[in-house]
Amino acid sequence: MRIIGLTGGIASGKSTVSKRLHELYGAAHIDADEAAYRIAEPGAPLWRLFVERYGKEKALKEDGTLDRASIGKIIFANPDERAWLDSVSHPLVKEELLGKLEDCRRLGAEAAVLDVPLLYEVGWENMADSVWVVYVSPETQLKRLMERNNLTEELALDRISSQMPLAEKKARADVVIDNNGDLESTNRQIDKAWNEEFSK
Amino acid sequence: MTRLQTIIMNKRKKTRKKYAFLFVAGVVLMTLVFCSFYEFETVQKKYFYPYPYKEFVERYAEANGVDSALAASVIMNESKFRPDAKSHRGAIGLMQIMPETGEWISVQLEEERFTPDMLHDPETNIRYGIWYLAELRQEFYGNDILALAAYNAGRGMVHEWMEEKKWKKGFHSISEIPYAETREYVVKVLKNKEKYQSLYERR
Repeated sequence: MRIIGLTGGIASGKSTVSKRLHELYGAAHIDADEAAYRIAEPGAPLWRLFVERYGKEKALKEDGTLDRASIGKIIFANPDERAWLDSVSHPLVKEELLGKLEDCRRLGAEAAVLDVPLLYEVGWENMADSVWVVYVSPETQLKRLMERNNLTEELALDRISSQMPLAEKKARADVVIDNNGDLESTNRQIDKAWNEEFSK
Repeated sequence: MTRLQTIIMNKRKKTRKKYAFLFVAGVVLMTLVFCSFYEFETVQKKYFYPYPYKEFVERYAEANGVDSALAASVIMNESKFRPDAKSHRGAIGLMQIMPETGEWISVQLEEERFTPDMLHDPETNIRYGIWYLAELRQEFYGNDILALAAYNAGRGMVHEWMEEKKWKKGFHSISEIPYAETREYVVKVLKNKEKYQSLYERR
């Protein structure tokens, strides 16, 4: 099974790519943001760690699911807690992703798209056989992010600048998809990259 | 026979041969076309949409009031009909039932002596899985999309989404499902359900 690592700046259009690879080429789609949610579902590993560390009172809502607002407050107010969260959550997300990849392999998938927004930042590029980076110009990125997430310009800029510079990601990528043009242009690049992926 | 007569006769033979050849070629071609249609369906059934355990699936689908093509499609997507399938989270067998879910189902069915091992048995797995699918359909107002989302993401998660995103009973915009895996699962199961219908439910 060929594993394509898909990454790119926030609001760069990764979902356009993963959607096409899934719908047109049948590649399995494994999403790191979703994995991060799944490990925090009731009974799952991160849920247990939160309960252990902060107690049911602070960590859970009445229905037993995580009280994300309450935990968020603790984490953002306290850099040590943030460091703790990163140190325990990253390996758990990675484990979940590896498990998902194994499930796909067992079911005979030919390819899987590993959709990880911060693939390079967390240093997981070795999980993939090749890495595709999707990018748009900073202007487009800012505009999209503000619209999509309803953010002020300042907040959007904060988010963008907290990520690794795009130039560095592009330099390290195996495939670079320029998403500045229209959908047709993006699709053409996706198809070309996909064909090359399987002629290697 | 004159030389001319011989020539004419030979010519006639040749023409007859030519027609005979065309006729045979035509028959062969038509047979091939016919076979390929037939083969296409056989190949599809055999390799892309197999249906082992059909009897069990139909029996328990009927008993629980679930469309058997829907049940078959769930099995296809969960395990590709492999009774020994196991997920990294510990879901077991044809319908990928979690041991805790199996335990819960056994209590609802008032069956004593449940062990997760029993889920490796194809018939038990199908019986439990289809019962659970029927239960989810009932819980989610007969809405297949919500029921399938719950089969994949868990019923609690779907209730949470419904509340958060103000989904109604008749929810049908699959693209709003937050988990990519769940979204794609629902799309695939519904698509494959149609395939099972067209391939196995005789018109």
